Amino acid sequence: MRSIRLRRRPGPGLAQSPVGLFGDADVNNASDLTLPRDLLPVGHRHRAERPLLARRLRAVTHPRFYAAQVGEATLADDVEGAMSHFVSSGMRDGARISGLFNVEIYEERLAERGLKIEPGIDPFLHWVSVGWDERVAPTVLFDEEFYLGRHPDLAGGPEWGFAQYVRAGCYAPGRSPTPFGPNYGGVPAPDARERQDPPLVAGLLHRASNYDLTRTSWLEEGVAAGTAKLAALGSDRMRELVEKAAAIEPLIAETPRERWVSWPPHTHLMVMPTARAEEVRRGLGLARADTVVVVPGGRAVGAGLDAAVSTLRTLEPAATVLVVTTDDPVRPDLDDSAVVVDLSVPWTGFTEHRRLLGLLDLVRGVRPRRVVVARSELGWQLLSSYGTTLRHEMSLAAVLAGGAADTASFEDFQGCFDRLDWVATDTDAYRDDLIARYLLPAAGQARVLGLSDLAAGSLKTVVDWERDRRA
Amino acid sequence: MPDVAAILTAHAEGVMAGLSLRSLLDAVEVARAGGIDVEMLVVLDNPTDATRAAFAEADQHGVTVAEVSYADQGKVRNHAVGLVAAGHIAFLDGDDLWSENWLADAYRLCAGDDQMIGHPELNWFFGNQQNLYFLPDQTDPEFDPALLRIANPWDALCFAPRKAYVEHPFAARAVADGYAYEDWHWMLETYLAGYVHRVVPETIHFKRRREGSQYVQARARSVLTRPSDLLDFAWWQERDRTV
Repeated sequence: MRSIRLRRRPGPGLAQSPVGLFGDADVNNASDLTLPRDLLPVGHRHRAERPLLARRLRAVTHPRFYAAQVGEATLADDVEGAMSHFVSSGMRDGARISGLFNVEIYEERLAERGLKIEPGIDPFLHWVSVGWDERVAPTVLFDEEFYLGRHPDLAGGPEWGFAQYVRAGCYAPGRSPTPFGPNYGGVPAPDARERQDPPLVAGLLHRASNYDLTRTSWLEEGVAAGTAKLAALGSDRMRELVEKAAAIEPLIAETPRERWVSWPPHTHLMVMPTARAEEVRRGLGLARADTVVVVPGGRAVGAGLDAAVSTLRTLEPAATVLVVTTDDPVRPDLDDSAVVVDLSVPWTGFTEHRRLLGLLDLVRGVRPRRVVVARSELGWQLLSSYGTTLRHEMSLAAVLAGGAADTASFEDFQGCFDRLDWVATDTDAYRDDLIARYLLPAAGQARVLGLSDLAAGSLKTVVDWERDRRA
Repeated sequence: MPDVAAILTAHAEGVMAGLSLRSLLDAVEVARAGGIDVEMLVVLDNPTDATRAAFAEADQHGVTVAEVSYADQGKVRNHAVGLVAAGHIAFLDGDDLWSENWLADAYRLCAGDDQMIGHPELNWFFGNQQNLYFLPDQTDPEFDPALLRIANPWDALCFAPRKAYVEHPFAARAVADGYAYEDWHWMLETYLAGYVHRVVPETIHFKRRREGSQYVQARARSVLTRPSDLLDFAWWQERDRTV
C-alpha cells in the first residue's frame, strides 16, 4: 500500500495561481498531498513531497469524470476527495483523474519527442513531472497551435497554452482548443470552475456506458476520428480534387483565417442538444398533450394561470395537460392531474438559443391544441421567435400577472399579441390597464380575460374561437 | 434513359455561374469516361441579365437551358425533375462547385440501390466563412436520427434517385407564414420513407458562403421547417418499441 498523507484540506474555491504551476521553488498555496514516490520517474522522486506536482494534479482534476469511473458518486463534487482517492487507489486501478489526460495519446506524443515512460512508472505521474515540464499536451482535446492561433491574446501569458486551457480556457465558452470547437461546451455553471467541472466533462460522459472511460470516451473518440478525417485531406487524391476545383475558383485555395470543422455525429454543436432533447422525450412518457403550459417552475403559479387551467379542465375534462418548467424543477401547484416535465435541469449549461430549441422540440413533438405561456422568459422567447409559425399548428395563449411578479414586459405583450388567441391576467385591474393602454378595439378586448371573465366562463368563448380558427 | 441528370440551378450569380458550369462539365466528363450516361440541364429562376448571359452558349456544351419564374428554390428543383428522364439526379447551385469525381463516385455507390441517397464526404465552405463540414452517414452506429429534429445534417445538393424527388417533392417556401428550410423537410420525409442517406467517400462540394444566402436569411427570420412525422413524439415512441 502506498503511503498517502493528507495534512489539511483546503477550503472550496481554492484558485490555483498560474505561476504556482511552474516551479518547485514556489511553495505558496500548496496542496498537501504527497505523491507515491516509487511511481514517479527516478529522477523526480525527490519532488514527491514538494507541492508543485500535487498542485498540477489538482489543477487537472475533474472529480465528476473521475467519480464516474470509480463508481463513487460522492466524489463528483469533491476535488480534494477525488485526488485523495486517486492517489490511494484509483491510480493503481488505472482510473483517470482528468479528462484531459489520456495515456495512449501521452505515450504517442512522448514518442514523437524520443521519450518514453520507464516500466513501473505511473504514466500520469510521469506527465505531471516530466510531460508538463516538456509541455506535452496529453490529449486529443487540445491543439496548442490552433489554440494560440485562435486566441492570440494568450501568447504572451505566463503559462503555456495547455496550462491556461486547464486553468481557465476550458471554462470559457469562447475558447476553442481544437478546430472542432469548444469540446461541446455550452454555458458553464456559475460554480463550474470552483467544482472543476468544465463543460467538456459532459462530452466525456456522453454515452459513457459504451466506453472504458479509463482509456477513452465519446468525446475523445469523436475528436480523434475527426482529426483523422482532417488528416485524410492531405492524401494525394483529396489534394488533387481540391487543386482541380481551385483551378476553376481560386478562392477555394485561399488560406483560411480560421477553419472550423464539424462532423455529426461526432463533433457538431447540435449533438449534445439532441441528446438532451431525447432525454426529455424519453422521460416524458407520453406522445400527445392537449394543452402545454410553460412556466418557470416553483410552487406559486398566480391567480390567472390557476383560473385558466381550472377552467380548461372543466371544459376539457379528459384532456392531457403538460406543464413544462423552464427554470426550476419544483412542481407548480397547478392541476393535480397534469403531467410535469422539467427542462431546467437537463438543459443546464446550454445557451438560451439551445434551450429554446429544446422547448420547441417538445412543443412540436406533442402536437398540442394550445400552448399557454405564463411568466417563463423562455416561453415568451418561444412566442416571439416562433409564434408566427406555431400559430399555424396550435393555439397560443399567455397569462400575465403584471407588476414585479411577472417577468413579461409590455414589450413581450405588444410583440406577441397579434399571434395570441387569448391572454389572461391575474387581476381585472391589469386587464383593464392593458385594454386602456393599447386602446384595444372590441375584437382585441374579447381576447383579454381578467379573473372575473374566467370565473364567468368567458374562456369557453375564446376556446371555441381558437378551435374554429384552427379548423 | 440516361443514368444521371446533372442539374444546375441559378438566379443572380452572374458570371460566377460560369465557374459552376465548368465544374459540372468536368464532373460529367469524368462520369462519361467511366461509362455513365449523363444528361445536363440548367434551370434559371428569374435570372438576372448577367446570369442569363452566363449560359448563352451552354448549348454548345450539350447543356439544355430552361427558364422559370418561381423565386423558390424548391419549386425550381421540382420543375427541373420534370424536365429530365435520368434515373438519378444531382443538383448543383449556381455559385458552388463539385469535385470532379462527384457524379461518377456517387453513381457507383447509389446505382444499385434505389433507396439510397448519396452525400459528399465534405462540404468545403469558402468565401465569407471557411469551414469544413463532414456530412454524416446514416449507417454510422453513432448517428442519432433524433439530430434531424434539431438540425439538418445534410444538404440538398445530393445524389438521389429520381423517384425520391417525384414521391417527395420539395415543399413550397412560405417565409411569411414562418416556414422555410424546404431542404431540411425533404431530408425528414425521405428518411421517413426509408431512404438511406450515405456518404460518398472522397467527394467534396465546394460551397460559397455569402451573407445573403437563403440559408442565412432563413436563420435570421426564426422560421421553421414544416411539420413532419419525424418531429412528432408519437413516431419516436413507436420507433422506441420497434428498434
